[in-house]
Amino acid sequence: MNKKADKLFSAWQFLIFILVGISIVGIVFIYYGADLDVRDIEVEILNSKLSSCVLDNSYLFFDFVEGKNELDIFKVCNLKQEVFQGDIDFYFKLNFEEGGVSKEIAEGVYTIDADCKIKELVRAENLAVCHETSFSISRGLKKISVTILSASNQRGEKIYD
Amino acid sequence: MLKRGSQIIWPTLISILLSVMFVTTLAFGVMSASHGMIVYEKAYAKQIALLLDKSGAGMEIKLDVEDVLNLAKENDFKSDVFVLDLEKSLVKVQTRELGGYEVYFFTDLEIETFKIVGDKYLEIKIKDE
Repeated sequence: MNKKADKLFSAWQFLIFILVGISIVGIVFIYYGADLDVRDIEVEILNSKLSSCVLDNSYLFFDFVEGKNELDIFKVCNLKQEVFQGDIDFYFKLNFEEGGVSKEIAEGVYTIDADCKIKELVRAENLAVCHETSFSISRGLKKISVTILSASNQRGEKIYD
Repeated sequence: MLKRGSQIIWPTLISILLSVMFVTTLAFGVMSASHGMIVYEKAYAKQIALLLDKSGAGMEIKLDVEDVLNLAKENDFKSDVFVLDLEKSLVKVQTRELGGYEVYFFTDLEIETFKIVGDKYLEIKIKDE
């Protein structure tokens, strides 16, 4: 009788050990292996940079919408061209609307634009994080509606060499 | 009598030994995970990239990086822990020979200073326009 009870206790003891072990290892991995996702901060910074840029240089954007000049968005807004024209997961789109006519500037990985539309409908963690703001700029009696979409899916890379 | 005694002692001894092994393995695993280099490298690379993205001309940033520098010392890593590649707009953080983490930033900046000061701080100075 005693021997049987001892064996039973031993089996339970090791089962508890295994469960406790799995729980502790799981908690540690969840805590320390956290993804450290900063994409939402990144897109807010990009959005605010572009918004300030449009507001500070509204005369340039007015001329661009009216077709009076070309606009180098990277130079005007202090953004690194190579980053947006490479395969790094950044994207932005500026849409200007004046009296039914619209003009657009879009740079970055274009597929992210579709990600943003999908994310409006469903929750998808692996798709890019998007941020959109709207405001208007005016010159004299003319008013332009501006919509800025910024997005990022940059998670960083491990270096293996 | 002796046979009975050994019958009681051995299972108990094995049980204690296994318990000690279990606790030791668990403690070792938790400790090594909590000192995880990859977490430090990832966190600092992302933090620096965000700081650079947010910063503007003439700004000076001083970031306490003592813990990650100590980690590199523990790993006997002699190269630069923090590397800034302005051509690619890339921040690299490395505390060991094989491995590290890199993150891109998107702001076009002219960096005047990017260096470790006093074995504790990372000093970043952005050129004034």
